[in-house]
Amino acid sequence: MKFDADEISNMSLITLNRSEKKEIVKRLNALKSYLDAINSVETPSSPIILAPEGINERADEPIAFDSDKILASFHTIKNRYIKAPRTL
Amino acid sequence: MSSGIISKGARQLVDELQGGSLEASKVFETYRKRINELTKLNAFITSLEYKPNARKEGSLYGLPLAIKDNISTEGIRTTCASLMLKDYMPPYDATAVAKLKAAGVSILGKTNMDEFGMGSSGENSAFGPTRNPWDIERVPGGSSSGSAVAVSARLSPAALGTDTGGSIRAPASFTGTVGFKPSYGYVSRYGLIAYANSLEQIGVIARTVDDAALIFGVIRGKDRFDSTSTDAKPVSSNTGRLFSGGHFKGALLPQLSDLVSKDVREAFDSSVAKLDSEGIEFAEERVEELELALKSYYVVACCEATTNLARYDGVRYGPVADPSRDWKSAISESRTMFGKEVKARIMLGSYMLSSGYYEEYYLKALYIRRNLKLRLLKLSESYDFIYTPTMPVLPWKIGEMIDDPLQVYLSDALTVIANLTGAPAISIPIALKKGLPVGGQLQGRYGLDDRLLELAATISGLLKFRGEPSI
Amino acid sequence: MIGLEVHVQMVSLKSKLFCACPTDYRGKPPNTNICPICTGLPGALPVLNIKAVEEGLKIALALHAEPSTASYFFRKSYFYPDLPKNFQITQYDKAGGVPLAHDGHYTLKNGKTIRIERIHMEEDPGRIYYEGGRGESRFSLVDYNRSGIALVEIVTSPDFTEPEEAREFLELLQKNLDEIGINVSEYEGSVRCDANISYAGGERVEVKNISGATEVEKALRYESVRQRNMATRGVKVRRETRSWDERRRITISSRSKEVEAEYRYMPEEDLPPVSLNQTIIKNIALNMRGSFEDRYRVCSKYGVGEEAAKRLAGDPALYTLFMSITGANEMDASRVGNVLANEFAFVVKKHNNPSLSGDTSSLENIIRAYIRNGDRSRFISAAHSWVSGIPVRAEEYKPKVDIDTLIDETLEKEMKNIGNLEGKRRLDYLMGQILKVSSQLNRKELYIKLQKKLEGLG
Repeated sequence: MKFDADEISNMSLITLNRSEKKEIVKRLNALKSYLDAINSVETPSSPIILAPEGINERADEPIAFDSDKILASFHTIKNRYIKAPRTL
Repeated sequence: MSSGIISKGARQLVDELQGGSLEASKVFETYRKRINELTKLNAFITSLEYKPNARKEGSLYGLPLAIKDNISTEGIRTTCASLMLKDYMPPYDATAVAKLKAAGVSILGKTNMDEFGMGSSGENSAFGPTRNPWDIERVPGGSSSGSAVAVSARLSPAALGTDTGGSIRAPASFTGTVGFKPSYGYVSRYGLIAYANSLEQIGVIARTVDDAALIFGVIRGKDRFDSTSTDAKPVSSNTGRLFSGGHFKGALLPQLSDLVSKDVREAFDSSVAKLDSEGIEFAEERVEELELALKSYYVVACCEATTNLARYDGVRYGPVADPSRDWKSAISESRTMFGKEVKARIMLGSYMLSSGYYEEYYLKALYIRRNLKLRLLKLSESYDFIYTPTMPVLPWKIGEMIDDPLQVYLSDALTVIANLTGAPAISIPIALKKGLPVGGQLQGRYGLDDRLLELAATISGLLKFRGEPSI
Repeated sequence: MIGLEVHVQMVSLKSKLFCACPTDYRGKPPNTNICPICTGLPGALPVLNIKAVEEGLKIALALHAEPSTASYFFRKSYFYPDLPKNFQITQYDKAGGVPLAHDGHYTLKNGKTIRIERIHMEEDPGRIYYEGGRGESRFSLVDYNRSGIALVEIVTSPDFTEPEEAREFLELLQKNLDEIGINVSEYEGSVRCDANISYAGGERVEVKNISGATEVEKALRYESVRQRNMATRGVKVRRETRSWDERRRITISSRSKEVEAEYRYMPEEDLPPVSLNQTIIKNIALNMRGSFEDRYRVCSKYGVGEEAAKRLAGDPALYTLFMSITGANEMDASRVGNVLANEFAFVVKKHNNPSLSGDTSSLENIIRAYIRNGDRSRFISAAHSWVSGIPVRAEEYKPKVDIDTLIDETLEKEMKNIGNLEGKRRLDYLMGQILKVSSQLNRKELYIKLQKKLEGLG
């Protein structure tokens, strides 16, 4: 299967500089050809999701968290808003 | 006196602290001094000053512990050994940390690791490689490299690590320490910074099985902040083999021995012979489902990593995503701060989750994983444990494998099994080869963690491994 | 062809979907209603608010959708400033996923049926605020107060042909949600909508983030004119995403060059699936009230007369009693419904806003005894006690019928029918009528008394 590094970069927002690109793409190709062996495994027609075990049991009871503590761990705050780049 | 303190295990320290013959501050300062003397091991990313813990009635009062740097600690920077989180200060404690604090523990510092847990050698850290105290030119194993080195070199009586594909057991094996990965769900993951959330668990690295059990006893249990956490004790019909008069039966997996180097095989075989002579019965089993286990592990781990690490965009913490640039280019710029291994795994996971490939990789890996889980559960009805070496090779030289990443991935072949199945597993030191430690791995049945710990203590006692690095 | 994706905030919940932060974020200063979980801090894990599943099922049942037997969550990955984890926890109907419910339908006034493809739960993103307006600001300001609020997404098939149908659907839906206790009309921005619209020959255009029914109609009208104009000019309508600008009343192309988004769905392994067993679903169905039309339809189905059905459907409390009494035994549902809508409703009116929360099985006994013995006065008194919350003993409503009164009442009622009957035939007819109302009477005693009475009449 084709592995288009630029397309994957764009999808995962991981950009590589020239020297990284050479090394990482080589590594990815090696790893991919190692993993490709699982493509040929026969699986049942309806997919099997391995559901995690456990119980979801939170009741609908509000508890406030000290939001200032959270803001203190963030940067670029403006009037309590998070200042972020914008989409085009 | 100080050499006296560092030679004591966690259980002994706690007893003496509670008996009043030792003082908490003295114990802490002794370790702190040694940490500062042995910075060349690069075991700690952050080391802390003594802060008395007020919980004098706590069951571990006064015990200093090292914590892997991917476990959140309120007000103590938690970096995951990444430039991405270089200055990140969590505003909350992981549940395991909160439990330790409540039991009276003082934190010595945050230990070095492979970035975000991605690595098996301790070399992939933005803060430089961790060094093996048995030979500082060699890797200590990873990803909980700093925690294992801290315990091995007597920089801490015990430490918390995390294990996604062997990250506690591999460095324990390479450093001659005990590394215990509990059953999935037995320790809350709340506050553990996720790499591959369906595989990883917080666990303990200690000098003895007994010390590991002591710490595990404090951090285990159902947590309302982690839906997958549990207190469940398996019901009696589900407990597999029952001990009968101390008679244990272990399964050997000879099909994996092709992967194992001559040195490790010799050490392992002689441990089997010794245990056999002590009355432990072994039988060989062939498990077809193991053939693709490592591959399915890497598929699942990379896919989960892609989503878990998407949140590092520089908008809230980490390298600032420049608000004057457009969204995608600013985020991409911040994300250049990830190390190479992390970038590779994120990209690979992204590829394998994209349309058309999800079915070919991810769903196939889940199917392999499910079959392996069922097969080993069945196997555990006839055996008390599965016995293998922990690592197939001896610790390699730092930088030696840099051009052969696949070889490093292959070194996880024996440890990933327990992460795929969720079963508890423990690595104990069994021998020295060429002056380097070799670990043996015991895997138990899901949920029977206490029994596995008892068994490991018995086997450690029979093998009588003694030894510590001369550093 | 028009299809809608409607996002409804479950405003009846007190805490967010995956964390305990309160839901009353409206009007709060930015980033005051947040915690490690809804800001996606490293190491934080989601834990499901189990009440959200109940509320989601209520909505599903109101839309006549089929609940799934288990409910899974998935991660939907895309990078956006309002999404703190850069993935949204949602549900998915492919790749092994299961939404909360599927295959529902909704009927418009013109009799047209709109198919509901699926209904799923997901978390609301934060809000982006642009200083000086979206066109002006060079950066975004993000407020996570809304991040993690529980949403239900309702996906319809492309069954609408006219913009006003989409409006009607949303208006009905909104009214229906209010009636089942999810009072969306009280909360601004709690119902939001994406619309897919395409006309013959053109590709599908998605118009995002429209708030409310009237805006949907306006946006769709604008878009249909725009697309038809393009077609007459011979310009091909390409697949794209546009957004609705309420102020300027136009749609604006937002991501025109984007190909099919690559969301890289995968299971959310931090959330175990919720199993939705039939008991839970039945209880929700019993407790929810549905719309007037729904309730009326159910009553009619059970054979309740037109006037009585209207009365029951119009009173959610009476309707709830009707459902819980007949839920166990549909046999004489029509008679139970008639008693509730007539005699019982008459009793309820005499009380000042009673809660009607007493033991329904006791009320059921009272009603069934009345149906058997027809003793109105005893029923009225027992019903008064029940409504006041006073325990009602069985003796108070079990048959201890006054035969003389019964004979008098029957004679009065039947006088015109017995005019041309004589002797034994007249006696037998009256016996039959009385026993129809109260079968447990002592026949011999009744016969003698009736005989005497008729003799007296001559």
